[in-house]
Amino acid sequence: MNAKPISRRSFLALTALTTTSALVACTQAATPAAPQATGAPAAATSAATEAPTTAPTSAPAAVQERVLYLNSPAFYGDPGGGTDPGCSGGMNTVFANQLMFSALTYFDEKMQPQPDSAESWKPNSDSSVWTFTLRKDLKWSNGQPITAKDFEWSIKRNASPDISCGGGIIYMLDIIKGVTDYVGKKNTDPNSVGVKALDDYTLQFTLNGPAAYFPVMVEYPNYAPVPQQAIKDFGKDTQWTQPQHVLSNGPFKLVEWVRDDHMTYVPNQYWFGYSDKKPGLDKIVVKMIKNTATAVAAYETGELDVLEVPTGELPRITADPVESKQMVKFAKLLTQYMQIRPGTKPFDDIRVRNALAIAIDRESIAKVLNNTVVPAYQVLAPGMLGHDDNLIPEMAYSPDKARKLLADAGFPGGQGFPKFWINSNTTDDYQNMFEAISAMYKDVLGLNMELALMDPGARGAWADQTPFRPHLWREMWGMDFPDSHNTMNFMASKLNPNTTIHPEYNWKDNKFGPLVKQAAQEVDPQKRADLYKQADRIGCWENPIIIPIYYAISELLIKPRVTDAIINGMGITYRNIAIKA
Amino acid sequence: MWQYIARRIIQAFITLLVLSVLTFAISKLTPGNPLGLDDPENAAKITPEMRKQLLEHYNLDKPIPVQYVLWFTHFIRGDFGLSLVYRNEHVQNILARAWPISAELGLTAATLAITLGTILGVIAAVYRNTIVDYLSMLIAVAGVAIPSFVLAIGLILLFSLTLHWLPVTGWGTPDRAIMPIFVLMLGPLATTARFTRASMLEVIKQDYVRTARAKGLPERMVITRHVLRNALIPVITVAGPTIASMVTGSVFVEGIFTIPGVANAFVNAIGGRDYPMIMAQTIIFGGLVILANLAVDVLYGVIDPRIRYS
Repeated sequence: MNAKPISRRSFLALTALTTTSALVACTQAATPAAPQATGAPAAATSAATEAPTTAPTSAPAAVQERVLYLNSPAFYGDPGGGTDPGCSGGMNTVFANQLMFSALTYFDEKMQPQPDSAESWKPNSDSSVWTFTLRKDLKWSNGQPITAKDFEWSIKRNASPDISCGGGIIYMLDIIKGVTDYVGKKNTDPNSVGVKALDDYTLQFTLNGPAAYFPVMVEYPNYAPVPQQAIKDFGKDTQWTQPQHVLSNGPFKLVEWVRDDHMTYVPNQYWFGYSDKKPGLDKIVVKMIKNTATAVAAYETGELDVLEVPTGELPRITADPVESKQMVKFAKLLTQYMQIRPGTKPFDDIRVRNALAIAIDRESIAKVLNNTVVPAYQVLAPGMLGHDDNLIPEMAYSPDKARKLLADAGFPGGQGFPKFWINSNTTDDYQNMFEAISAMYKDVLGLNMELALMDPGARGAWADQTPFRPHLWREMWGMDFPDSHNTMNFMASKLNPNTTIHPEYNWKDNKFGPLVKQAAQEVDPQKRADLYKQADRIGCWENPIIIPIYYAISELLIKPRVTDAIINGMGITYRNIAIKA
Repeated sequence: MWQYIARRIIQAFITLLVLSVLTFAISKLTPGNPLGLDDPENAAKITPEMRKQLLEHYNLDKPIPVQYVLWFTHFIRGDFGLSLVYRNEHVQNILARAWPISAELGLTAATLAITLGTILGVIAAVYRNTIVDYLSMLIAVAGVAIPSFVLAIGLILLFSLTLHWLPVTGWGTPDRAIMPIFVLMLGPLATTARFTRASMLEVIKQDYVRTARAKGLPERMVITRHVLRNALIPVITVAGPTIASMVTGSVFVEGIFTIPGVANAFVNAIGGRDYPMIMAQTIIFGGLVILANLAVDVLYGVIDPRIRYS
């Protein structure tokens, strides 16, 4: 019966073993650790299986080490944006760049530019040429000195068409003369870019035109120096941003980067602020937790020290006696709005656009969103030049006026109004908000607004297909630098069919563009504010392209042991951060 | 036998080729653009020149059949292409980083699930209709019935937030591995246990088992040598695809416990329309499933000598 039991049994065991190892080997063979090493799956196996265990995850057992744990979900899958100041874009990368790199200025609590790498700066008579004097004690994190020439090279590199993030993130740099042509390869001479080191400590910018707000822009990481030698040696495939190659000039330096898991920074002893004030901690660990429920749990177990509160958790945390005391609220410079298509009937009628704007009860929307937002009645955020609580009094919620406007436009009680929809990406908050707005339109105006909420990638593509083109489009503008020019310049781009992705919006206005341009070149703050007010009234009411809904508020949970965070509308700055022992 | 395996491998390559064409077509037909090009908030930030350069850089400006051929010729040479989410990084390097983590997690969980599941099933069958059987099957039913997200949250609540024994996030130390492995393991363990029990009960009734007992073999020998071996065929049928799916990572487990594995990378790839990443992962997943099924078919012949391939 069992003729060869032993051999068959051992063959069974052997087969099981080889299948398992073949599975592992297969995963390795398909994904060689070294590129093109497909011929050596066996060698790759041993190396790769060790990899996860060698990841030294900040053991809490370390004696009295003061470690700050932060979370940056955006770093998940981000190969260089978090490290390369030339690829900086959006709040998440900016915060990481600022741990490592000091640009020319930084913002204090009031969002005023303070000297960072630059000691002082002065404009020429019409604010179109700016001269920055650098500190004399600027050093890389290996102790080598930094001069104005490093800044000149770096800014030209950040504006060049072939930097790692592909074409450069130039919207913060194209204010400098020559950048647009340089990045567009119309002029390949780097010297055509209007930045020049006059001597070792003097850096001069020649701009496209007058810009009184320029010192506010040079806070952005695009204006930080990057290590020229490391980029030349390891620039390919963003290798230079790895901890073993990267040099930086900011408060912290990167010492460890476990991809898609965490990054570790330690204080940079060569940063000019290091000796003024002893570093208040030993290490910063930035984790990459995407799941919000996990992030909340991680904050509660002490695996995170700072947490952006998810809206859904807000009522619970507000009611929690301990955590409510750890919550910090601040107004973000971010406006949420619906964009209209003035080129399409019946939205070409200003009365229709106005009716849609004032049929929204923004106070109720704020309640729907757990009061994580502030009602917005214009596009410019509070605190910015041109913001005025009484700028557009007509914008207040007024159902009767809305009904009358719609009736005047030929749609009494919403009769005869074509089907229309709002396009947005799907989140719980957007779903709640647009369901509320849709209900208001139904109740007040008798209109049926359908919701087209979808995945962000699909959203743009659907908008390009004629039958699916949305009538209303959810959009938000988070400011890149705290000056009204940033917002209004973006709004003005909607006039230009070549720079917007969806030119069919077809917004025409003769006054808006010139007003924004004039405001950008105006030096007197009072006059600038007036110009921005006029433009804002046009864009939101007189010939509206958008319907403002709210300004965002950021709620952060910060453990009481964390001190000296600089918090302003741009987020948190960690340059002086400390942990109580 | 060898001929059979060779034939199956050739079939596998044809299957994978078809799979690659279909996946490529479907991912290109899905609306949306990579690189955030369609994101209206990027409108002011991406100039037409930049857009053109980006599309050229990633070969996205070429016709779709050309893109497929370009992808295919690179793929068979081991170059899976530049990722569109992890800019400037080759997909094979990303997978080389993420796969070992998922494979370690998955293989540990699969080994535990199949071993413990089989043992549980055998115990339940041997002591059928006793309290031991009921307890084992209670565990098995619970394992199938409790969704992994409920289990994961429950474990975090108990062991992290209440008892403070285990950390919630990360990977690389044993304490971080306990919860994810347990969550990943429980479902397959339960399935294995139920299959083993049912199959064992079937075999125990067979004549040859009665014969074995009649000739005076000790019960332990009867169970291990005669019943279990014959009962394993359905279990192995399930085990193959189970192992394949477990080493390819669990979207949920990797997401909630923040494990930098391949499933997390895959979700990221789909959201970001990362075509090369989607292609590479689909082909590898497909290849693994085919391999697992082939291994299962070969194992049948080993376990049951009556099964022969020619």
